[in-house]
Amino acid sequence: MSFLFQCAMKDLRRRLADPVSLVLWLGIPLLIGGLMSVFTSGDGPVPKAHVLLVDEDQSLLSGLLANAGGEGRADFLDIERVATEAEGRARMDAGDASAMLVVPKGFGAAFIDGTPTTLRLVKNPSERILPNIVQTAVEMLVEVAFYAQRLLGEPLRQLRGQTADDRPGYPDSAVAAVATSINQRMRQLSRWLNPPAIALQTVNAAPAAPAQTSSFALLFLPGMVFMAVLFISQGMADDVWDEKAQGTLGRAVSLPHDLTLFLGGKLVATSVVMAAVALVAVAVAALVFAVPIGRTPIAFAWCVFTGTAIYCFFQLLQFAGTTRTGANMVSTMVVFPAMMLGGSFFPFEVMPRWMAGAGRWLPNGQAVARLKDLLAGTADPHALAIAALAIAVPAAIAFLLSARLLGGRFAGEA
Amino acid sequence: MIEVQHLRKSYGELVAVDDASFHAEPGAIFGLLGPNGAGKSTTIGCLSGLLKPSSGSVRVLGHDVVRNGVAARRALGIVPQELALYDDLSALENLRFWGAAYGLGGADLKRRAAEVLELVGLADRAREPVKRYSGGMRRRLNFACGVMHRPRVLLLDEPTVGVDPQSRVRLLELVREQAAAGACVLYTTHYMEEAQDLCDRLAIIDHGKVIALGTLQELRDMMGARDLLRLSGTFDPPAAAAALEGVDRVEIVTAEPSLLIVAVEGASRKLPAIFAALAATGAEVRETTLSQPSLESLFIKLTGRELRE
Ligand SMILES: Nc1ncnc2c1ncn2[C@@H]1O[C@H](COP(=O)(O)OP(=O)(O)OP(=O)(O)O)[C@@H](O)[C@H]1O
Ligand SMILES: [Mg+2]
Repeated sequence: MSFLFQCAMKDLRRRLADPVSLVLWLGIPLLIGGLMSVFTSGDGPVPKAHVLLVDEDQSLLSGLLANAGGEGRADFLDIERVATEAEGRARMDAGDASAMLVVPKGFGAAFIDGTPTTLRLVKNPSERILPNIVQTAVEMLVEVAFYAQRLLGEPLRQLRGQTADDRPGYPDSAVAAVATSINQRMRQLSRWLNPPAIALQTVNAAPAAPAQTSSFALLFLPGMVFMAVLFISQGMADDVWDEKAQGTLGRAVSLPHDLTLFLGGKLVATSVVMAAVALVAVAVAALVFAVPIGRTPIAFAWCVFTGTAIYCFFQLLQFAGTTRTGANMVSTMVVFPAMMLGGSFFPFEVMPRWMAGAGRWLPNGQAVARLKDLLAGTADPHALAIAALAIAVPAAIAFLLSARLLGGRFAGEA
Repeated sequence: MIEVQHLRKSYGELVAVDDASFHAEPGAIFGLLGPNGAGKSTTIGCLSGLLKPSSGSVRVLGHDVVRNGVAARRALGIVPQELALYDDLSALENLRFWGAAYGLGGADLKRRAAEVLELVGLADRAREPVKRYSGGMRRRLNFACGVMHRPRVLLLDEPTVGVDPQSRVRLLELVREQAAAGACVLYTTHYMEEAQDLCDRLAIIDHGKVIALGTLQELRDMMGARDLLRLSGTFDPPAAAAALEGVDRVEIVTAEPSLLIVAVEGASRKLPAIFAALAATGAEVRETTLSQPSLESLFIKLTGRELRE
């Protein structure tokens, strides 16, 4: 027992020695929660920001980008296209707009290739609040675009690979097909930027008639929390490769202890990190979205428990590859679809029915769904217990299997 | 204390350790001497539980390492050839973790960590993360982690490689202290002098096989009590060789234009005769070294190769 504790402390110390990744992990739900609060705080009418868009790229993507928040879709944004940057600046100087967004030439191509690209946002210095709201919205859009790029970039690049080498562009039919799917995706993404509308329409509000903001929290927050959980699980599970590379795993094998305890230390350390995330999550839920305090302890416990269980699955995945790169590839191939299906990118409520159905069968999807119930105060103890068991049993098996694999060829010969 | 019987470890086709048998006693240092790739680390790996022997048995303190691993490892301390340290943690944190893992605790753990840090000369840098250490400092800490808990059986895999001469002397002193305190020490090295200076008994291992086993004296006797005489200068090899044939009980090991090595019994008494014979061929001798039968010469005799350093 004491060895387990020593191992956990050791792993936590090592985590603390690398605060950047820790902050990033904790920051994911914080950042997104913070962004959401910007959109939802305040009861009065949301002030509208007038934004000028200069589209130098004139690509399919830049058009979609312009649409994402424009044409009356977002309550707080009002996008107007202007021809040139100079014209935009003149309009801003005249006090005609809060900000101007410049989509540079080559943006669409860079996005697909995953090369760095910059969207330029010019804020009107004479206004104080609205330009900042616009900035936050654009930042969020960029965040979303980053994940979209991760999800869509590869098929798009393959598509490009099919076309003639030196001819930039895509066959028309392919463009049309991709455009349709991107269009759908973007329409979904754009709802993120238009939260009050969907929040009101799609959530089955809790019987206690919670405030609008609370139902908004229920829609998005659980998915965000488990996005962080998945990232953390992946990072903590990868640690066995560090132990192997540093030779410390070899030394650990020569200790007079079962390696299950050594790996158990990582499990405990992971649960502590999960607890930190869960604490942030319930604090955001309670303070920002007015979820009653009484619901938070069990929601907290649920996050820690399921988060730790999800880590166990990722731990086992590490042994799916014979090299670190291979194992990381496998776990990345799992993590993004799991986020997507498990309600971390889009809430189940806006997913196609079949997708939401499939997603709810994933451990993280199940965890998200039950967390929603817990925050809404609609959790059914029976369903919760079954979900807990359904997650815990395979997770325990995954953990024990991992411990066995850790001491075998993984430590010695491979 | 350590009993290795017919140990065999293969990696697919390659047989890294081939039917090795030896035993090491408490209070003494047993050396495993062999060139790169001889199978020293593989043997240590089988002893520490890191590698699973293909066949044969390995026992530590009477416990079978495979069947009763936890008991066998209870008294084990190991200094692996590759570093085994947490880079993000300080020397002190590393020592405390490994010490605690072997059951040290409380004041004893603290005292011992401070003591060991002093012994390996890292006390002044103890709170810095290991990633800021130099290579030699890491080696010293790696050693310290292995002796933290005063193990009764200590496995050392080339612990002095990459350590400066001063620190090396200190580490070797520490190894002797461990043995003097009753530990059973297994020390692998490819440094001949180290093995000669340090070990009470040793096994010479090559291509996974134990080719010689015994105390230093026993191994020297295998050489037939002949000294090795190295002469450098300018020689006419065939003429010099022919001339030396005439001197009683001299065997030519090497004859080159600038180097002559001969094995000879009672060399000091025969030096005048040897010099006289060489002078008659017009040879010029600039430097002469006379060495007692050594492990080096034994290794050359057994394998026909030099044990390079
Ligand atoms: N994981 C492995 N897979 C395949 N072969 C291996 C593996 N580890 C060691 N070997 C081989 O086993 C043989 C013995 O290696 P070992 O590391 O035991 O040598 P050593 O005596 O410790 O050498 P050195 O002085 O260089 O440390 C070598 O031929 C090596 O290539
Ligand atoms: Mg070795």
